[in-house]
Amino acid sequence: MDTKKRMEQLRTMFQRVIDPLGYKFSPDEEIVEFLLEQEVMIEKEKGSPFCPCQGLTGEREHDMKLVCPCIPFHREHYDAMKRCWCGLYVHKDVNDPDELFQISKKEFEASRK
Amino acid sequence: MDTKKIIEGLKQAIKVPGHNASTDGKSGDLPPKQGEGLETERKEVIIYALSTCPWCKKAKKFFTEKGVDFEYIEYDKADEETRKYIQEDCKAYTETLGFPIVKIGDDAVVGYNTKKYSSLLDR
Amino acid sequence: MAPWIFTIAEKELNDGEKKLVILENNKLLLLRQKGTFYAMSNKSPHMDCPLSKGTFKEYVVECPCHDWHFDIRNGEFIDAKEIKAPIYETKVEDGNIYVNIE
Repeated sequence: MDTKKRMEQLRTMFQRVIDPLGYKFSPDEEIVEFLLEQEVMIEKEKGSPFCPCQGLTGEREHDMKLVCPCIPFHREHYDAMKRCWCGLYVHKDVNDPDELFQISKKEFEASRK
Repeated sequence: MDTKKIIEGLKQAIKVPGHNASTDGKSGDLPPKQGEGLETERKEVIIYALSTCPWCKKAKKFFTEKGVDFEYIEYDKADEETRKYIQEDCKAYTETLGFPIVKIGDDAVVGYNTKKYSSLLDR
Repeated sequence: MAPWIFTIAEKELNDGEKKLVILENNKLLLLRQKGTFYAMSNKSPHMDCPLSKGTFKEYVVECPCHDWHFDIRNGEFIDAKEIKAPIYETKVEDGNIYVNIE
């Protein structure tokens, strides 16, 4: 299938998933386009649109938690960053995604103690 | 880029408990002596990345512009052995394999964060 | 008038089993657990994968594509209850299963 067309399909399907979770596509349209294109390529190669910024291990249990949108499996961590790991999605109230930083899960967990 | 060679190099450079590192004469394996070579000694920088990750490319750009030498290894393009090695090497910093993972000397930064990179380089 | 639509006969679906039914243009998944019938959209709300090809245990159906789990009683995605697969009312009359697709 045509990459652009598939990107639009993913956008439509994922919008449906992220909306009730309080997220939206990043206002940084350049990053969004880039990431969606990567996901289409990853889907062609591996069968699923995995996160372009997290590593697969080949173990189904690990990898399936990285299929986009992976927010449900990393909810508290992403809520703390107000973005998902790769930055495709941000909290609905975020206008400037450049103000948000990636915090590793370990740091996030340590900060809660 | 020959990833295998780099990984072999990394394995050599990383301290293994019980391994007598002084035999190869690498300065990184020797205990630092006070007041010696502090100005010229640069921390080793390794960026573990994914070919599909824009933040990895930004990290690469940051270190390039700083004029810092670094190794850049793409996890998704590496062979099985290298991937396993990276998983092991990063276990202490990220269980979820969130890239980029930037190792600066003995420290590591998970994610794209130029402030953290700078403070570790300058420390 | 409630649009109750006949699907299949009660005896065509054993306890602990599921079956894909096509009503007009709707693909529904009928499930039977502990004597009760449940109906939900056959499409996963994630990427439209057919739940009929997944596994079904207790009150949970697992999507075959990405292992998302849904509660057949309310359609809720187990890992984020805000996400729901549409569910439909069912009733049994004269040994036949009807679904309210409204």
